[in-house]
This record gives sequence, C-alpha cells and structure tokens, in this order.
Amino acid sequence: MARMRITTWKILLYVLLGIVLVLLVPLSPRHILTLATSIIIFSIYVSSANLLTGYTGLISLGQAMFWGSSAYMVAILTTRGIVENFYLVALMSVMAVIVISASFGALAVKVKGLYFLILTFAFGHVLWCVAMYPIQSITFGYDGIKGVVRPDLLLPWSMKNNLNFYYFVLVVAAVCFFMLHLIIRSPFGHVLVGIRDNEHRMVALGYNTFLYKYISYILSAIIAGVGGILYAYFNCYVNPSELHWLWSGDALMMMFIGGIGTFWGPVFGALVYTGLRYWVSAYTMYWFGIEGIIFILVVLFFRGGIAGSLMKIQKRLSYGGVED
Amino acid sequence: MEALRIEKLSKNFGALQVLDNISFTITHEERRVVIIGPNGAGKTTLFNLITGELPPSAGKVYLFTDDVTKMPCHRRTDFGLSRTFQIVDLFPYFTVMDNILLALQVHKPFRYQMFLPIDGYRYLYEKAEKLLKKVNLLGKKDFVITDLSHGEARLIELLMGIASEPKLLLLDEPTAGLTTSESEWVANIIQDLLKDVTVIIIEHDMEIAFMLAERIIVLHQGKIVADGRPEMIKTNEKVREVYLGTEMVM
Repeated sequence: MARMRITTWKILLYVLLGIVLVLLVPLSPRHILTLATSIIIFSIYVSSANLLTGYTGLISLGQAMFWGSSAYMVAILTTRGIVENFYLVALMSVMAVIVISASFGALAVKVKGLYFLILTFAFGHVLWCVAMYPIQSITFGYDGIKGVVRPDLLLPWSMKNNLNFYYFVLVVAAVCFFMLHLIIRSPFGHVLVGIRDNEHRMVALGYNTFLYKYISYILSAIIAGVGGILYAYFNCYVNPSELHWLWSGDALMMMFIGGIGTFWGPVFGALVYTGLRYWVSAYTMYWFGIEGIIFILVVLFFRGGIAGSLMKIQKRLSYGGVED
Repeated sequence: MEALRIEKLSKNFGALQVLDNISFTITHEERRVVIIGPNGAGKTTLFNLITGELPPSAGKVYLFTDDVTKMPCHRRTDFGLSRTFQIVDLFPYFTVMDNILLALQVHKPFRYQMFLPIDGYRYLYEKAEKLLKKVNLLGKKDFVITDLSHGEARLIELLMGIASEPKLLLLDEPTAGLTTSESEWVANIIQDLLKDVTVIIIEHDMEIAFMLAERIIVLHQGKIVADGRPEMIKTNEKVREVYLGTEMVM
C-alpha cells in the first residue's frame, strides 16, 4: 500500500469525472439520467462489498442481505405510514442493518474462506426465504412492495424531480466514497489489508483479527444498507430479488470486472455491468450469457479488472517504461 | 523476575507426542537463551504453545508470572511477547515500510482509528526508518517484499519481531537459509540490537548457537535433555548421544 502520488493525471481525471457527473449527466436525456442514478447507487453497493472482499479478504455471498433488508425497511415503514420523516426512516433502516450484520457477523466472521462464503450465502438465503414466505403479510412475498414514494428531505428541492434525486444520490455517494477513502488510508484500513494478505502473521503480531474483520463486516453492511435505502426510493418498488444471493453474486461480478481491492474498481464495474446490461438487453434477451462471457474473459485475461489494467497503464506512462 | 515459566507442558497431535512434560523458567535478566535439538524435537511447537498459536494438551504457560495458558495469541503480545518465523512470513505485496508500520502500530491506541490517514503518524515512519538504518536497509524501504533477496527478507522478519519493543522475543531460526557469512552478520545484529530484551532463539547452526547463547536448552523427542551454560552443554554426555552422527561443532 504505497502512499499515493498525487499526479497531474489524477487531478485531471477527478476534474473530468466531476464535470461529467455534475454537469454532463444532468444535461443528457432522461433515460441516461435514470441509468446514471442506478449506476451510482450500484457503485455504493459494490464498494461496500469491496471493503469486505477486496480489502479485508472475506469473500461473501451475503451482501444482498443488507442491501435488501434496508430497502425493505424503507418500503415497509413508508408505505404503511409508520414513519414519515425521511431521516428517521434512513436511521431506522441503518439500525436494522447494524443489528442484522452484528448478529450474523458474530458467527460468520469466526470461520474462514469457503466456510465464510457458504455461511454468508446461507444467512442471505434464510433472510430471502423469510421475506418470501413466513412474513408474506408484511412483505407481500414474491410480488414485493409497490408504491414507495420519493423522500421529502425537508429541503426546498423536491425529490420527485429526477434531476434533484440524481443530485441527492450523488451527494450521498460522495459521502460514502469519502468515508471509504478515509477508512482505507487509516491505520484501521492498513490492518484490514494486512489481514487480507497474511492473517496468520497479523495474529502473531498481536492484532485481534476477529474484531477487525467483524467491524469491517458491519461497516460494509452499513454502506450496502445505504445503497439499499437509495434504491428503494429510486425504484419506488422493492421485491425479494433485492435479498437474493444472485444479487450478492452480482456484487462480486461487478467487483471482479471493475478491479477487486481497488478504490475506483467498483465504480467501473457498476458502470460497465449496468451500462452493458442496458445496452445489450435492447438487442438480445441472452444478457446473462454475455455477462458470463465477459466475466470469464476478465478472470482469464484481466485479473486486475478495469482499474487494475488502468493502473498498469498509468505506471508505464509515469515511469516511461524505466524502473524507478 | 521471571519472564517465562513453562510448567509440565505437553503437546500431542493424536498419537504423536511432540512435547512431553516440559518445565523450565527463564528470568528477565537472562538475555539470550538458545534452544537446540534435532529435527522434530518439538522446538517450533514449543514456540507455538508459548505464543498461543496452538493450545497445549496439558500443562501451563506463565508470562511475567501471569498464567496465559488459556489466553488468545493477540492478548499475550500485550505482555511484551513477540516472535519471528522460521519461514519468512511477511506481507509479500506490501512495501518494506508498510510491513514495519504494521508491527509498529500494533499496541498503539490508534490501531482502530479509521478516519485519519496513517501517513499522519510521522513518528512511526521515523521509528521505522531508524530500525531500517540499523540493518542497512533504509534504501529499500519502498521496495515490495517480493523484490527483496532472501537475506534481506530475513532481516525484515527480524525487525518485525523487534519493532513492537518486546520484553520477551522468540526468534525461530533467524539464520535459516542464509550463507555462513550472512548468518554471522545476522547473529551480530541480534547481539547488537537486543541488549535489553530477553531473547529465546531456536537455532540449527551450532556455531551460531554457541556464539549467541548465555544458556542452552537441548530438546530431543519432546523432552529436555540438557539445560545450562554453553560450556556445560558442550561436555554433556547425553547431548553428545543425541547429536551422535550429526554435525556438532564442539
């Protein structure tokens, strides 16, 4: 984890990204705005998984559990008129995610590797089943909950306007990414990467690796939960597929395509994955097949994903092919 | 004051008895205790029991008079215990500096701090640089571990053990895989750097073992065969028997 060199390249790219997000996207046609909103929300979700998998080394198939449960919390609380205030709804949803992740996490983080993967998958599936069947009267099972309305932020701008909602999502995403940036560069983040690379040594050095992994698990759940809240409001509809393990798998897929363990990888992943899905599904219904082929190509030929490949190019440019 | 007390310690993996009812005490005033013994004598297992990486089958481990037998690994390091590994066990994709930083921040209160960048803790960097200077590796601080030679990686392994300023340091074959001249160099570094620390060293190379040791414990088939000053060990009949047929410079 070498300290970052702030190059003119980087600043230029950030400015460019800013211009695209703040000025260009809002000027584009409506369907692009909608697409961009969903990509940003997915980026938050994939980044949350990246904190756990890319930086802590825990491969989870249960990330949808947190995304879905906070989305359901929003839908249940608002459509039934239990809580009206947006901030209270958001707070309660995040609290729910914390409770779920803290209780499942205490068990899941105790095991490693494949066992962790299977446990998170099982927990997620249990939650999906619960939403589907036993509490059907609350979740409306397979049909999902319709009629979620855009939140009232108690600000002069109405969220019913798609452009305003886009900016709102952008601000929340910026906060999430800023937080992630801080976490990854902090002593805590440094330890997480250490655990990912060599947990045995971290234990021997004297780190309570369980606690670090547990906190990372909960933090990643909270961020996924934030994504879920935004998505429920964005889509105005929540159904069990938000809780399904396939959606957890999608997070892994986007992460691999974008670049696992890199900061911007999840954004690239969400962009390419969602963009391609949108574009390809207009021509063919065999999107899943194409998705699979892309995934295979990335795993075989671009191990670092998009971000990894870009970093390689950047290195070559900045060193001019000569070793530093 | 005692730094380490082992009481009737045993360890078996199924039917295989690796350590058999071992007891000894090392005081805080002792500087370099060397553990020798043929392959499979149980030396590394003994280290793993002291650090808590393995639970004992029977017996007790005391660190600075506290019973730590049931304590997890990470809590034992709070007593000032630290170790290195026989096979270099670093963070291969981290730079040398980042490796040392991980060892330096382990007992700091800010190790859970997640909002301020690690770069802000300048004094940690300075401390790491000081350590690297001592082993002439400051020039390689930004190298990734995989780009180091084996000898250099061994030195970083040693620094990882020293960085947390331990009171009791366990070195598992610090000269493994090094040439004779490199081994002597490392042994000199150990003598120079570790003047105020109680060090327990597992050593295969007898020359190095006798060069470093104030006291030698000889393990054989999970039992202590001899324990005493190097001169005593040299003349010990049992030790000669254990090493009969193997190379032992006396």
